Amino acid sequence: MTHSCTQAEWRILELLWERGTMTAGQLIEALQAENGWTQHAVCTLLERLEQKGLIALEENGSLRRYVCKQSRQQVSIARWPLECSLPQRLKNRLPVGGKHQ
Amino acid sequence: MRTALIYNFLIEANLMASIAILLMIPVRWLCRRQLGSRAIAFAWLLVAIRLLCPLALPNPVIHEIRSAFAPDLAIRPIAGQVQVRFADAVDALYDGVRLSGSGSAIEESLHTLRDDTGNGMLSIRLMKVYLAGAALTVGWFAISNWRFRKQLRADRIEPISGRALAQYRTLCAEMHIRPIPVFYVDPLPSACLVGCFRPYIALPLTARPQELEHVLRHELCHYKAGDHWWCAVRLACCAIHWFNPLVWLAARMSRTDAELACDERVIRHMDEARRRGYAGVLVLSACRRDLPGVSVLSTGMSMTGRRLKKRVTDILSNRQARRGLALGFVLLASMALIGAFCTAERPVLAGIPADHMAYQSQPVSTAVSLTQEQEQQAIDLAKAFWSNETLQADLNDSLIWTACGQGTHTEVYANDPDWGEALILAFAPDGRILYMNNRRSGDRDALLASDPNQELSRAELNGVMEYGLSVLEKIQPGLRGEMGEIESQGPTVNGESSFYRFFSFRREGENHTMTHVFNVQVFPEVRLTHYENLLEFDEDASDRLEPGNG
Repeated sequence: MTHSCTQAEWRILELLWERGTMTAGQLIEALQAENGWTQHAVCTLLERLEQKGLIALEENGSLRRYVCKQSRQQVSIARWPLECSLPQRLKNRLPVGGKHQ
Repeated sequence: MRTALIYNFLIEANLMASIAILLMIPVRWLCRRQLGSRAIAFAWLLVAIRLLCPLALPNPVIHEIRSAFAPDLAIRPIAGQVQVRFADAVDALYDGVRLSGSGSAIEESLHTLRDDTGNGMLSIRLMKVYLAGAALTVGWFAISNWRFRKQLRADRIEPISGRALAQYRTLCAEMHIRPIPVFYVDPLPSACLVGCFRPYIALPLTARPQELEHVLRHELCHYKAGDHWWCAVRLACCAIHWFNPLVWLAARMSRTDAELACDERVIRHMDEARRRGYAGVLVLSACRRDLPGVSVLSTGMSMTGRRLKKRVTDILSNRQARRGLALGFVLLASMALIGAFCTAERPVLAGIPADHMAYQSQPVSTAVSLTQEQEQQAIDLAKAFWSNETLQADLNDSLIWTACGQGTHTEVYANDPDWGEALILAFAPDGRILYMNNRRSGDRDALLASDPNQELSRAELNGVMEYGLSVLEKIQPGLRGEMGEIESQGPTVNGESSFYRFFSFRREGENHTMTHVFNVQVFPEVRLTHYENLLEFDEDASDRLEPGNG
């Protein structure tokens, strides 16, 4: 079963796939440096990913670390849900190969 | 009656706007570099004004366009002609099918269509279809926008802050704009300006800090140019004229031109390096798919495909439009807009235009809508005439015909199953009923109007008299000088016409009197119908011709 996420959420998942587990602080620091995202923005995205079941918070003693629950093959970047133009909706129904970048 | 006004507006607006849209297509394609996208975007605004304004200005040459001896009596030169020509076409088609013996089913359908065209049922059905289509279109727009706004609200992350906020405020100060809210949203393919009354900018969370300046500048240019209101205007045009595919095409094209015009504003003072950076942002934005279509109240920075290629090429080349040419185009388009509204007859002032010649059938028309009271009056008159209290008169399907400057001839069909009646009523502009006739029986005698005071006002009477004298003067120069004081008599109603008689006595010598008598018909059209002069030798003063014995 394929799970979908946004492009911003994919960035977080990529970090977790690369490094295995990370704390919230580490994620915030990394994404702030890379994209200029604030702490609030990162926390909001983490919350959404948890709700989607793509990541989970593991407690290891005093440390709470985020870990990916799905592999890279099981996740894809979703199209924007409101592509209202009819030609675009028709295009979307045609088979497309590969993940969206 | 009220549906006639809506039809008039829809027909005229769509006809004129469709011509304008078809003209705009080659202009966009061939003259964009010379005129610039801003001039083209302005021209689209003029097309929208034509589509939305139910205005009809008098056209001084409208009577020359319409044939003097045209048998049809359409009150509106353009909309009425379309309606009358359609009725004629249906008649001709029905006759053709009937004579060819193609089949009873087709003949029956055409017969029904012809009847419905004549008795106004077709116009009712078409109006229902139109209103249903408009309601569906408005519903679709409302739902699309509601979904879009709801999705944006749900996906909102936070308002911009920190360095991004400082950068934004600096930009607003530079552009002399009061800052509007800016929110990061995820997911969002591309930045957009959202909403009309309380607009805000939605930025994708994935927008890189180095792209922010270009993105915000672009959206602020949209805001400054009022493009968020322009979206609402486009939606209104599509909702009202949903049946015209050219209007939808124009909405799409104008959206593209608004984006290109925004680019022109953004890059106006940029050097080459910054223009490259801006073009790069557009290309990156295009990788993330299209934004919502024309049904949503938002701008959209992104374009794809050939349009993107053209957009990027224009930005990098930085070709400037020729200002004089652009200004000339704008002025020409504005004048064309005024011309596109000139679809009504010349207004009739008190009196009759002096250049009307006798026996040249040039009806002078005024477009009048009956009030509810007048419609009720018509029904009551019909009931009284036929002594039929159960008479049904379907006044919604009235057709307005041309009439003289003092009256309106309205055909009302009474849907009585026994008769299939046609009742003709003539209303003056002030609401008096001048004339009523029953067409069914072939009895052409006019009935008494409800208002016994059918006379013209003094000013109108003088106008009618002056008209008659002007025509006579053309026929026989100097005739007027032979007349003394002119008296009038009337109105006299005879069949379907109503006229006034004018006469003057003049004692020429000791024993003879010259009498000039001329009749001017005032309904259904104003024209001189009769002139004679009478020379009488008086044996006795009492033999002088009495008024009314002409």
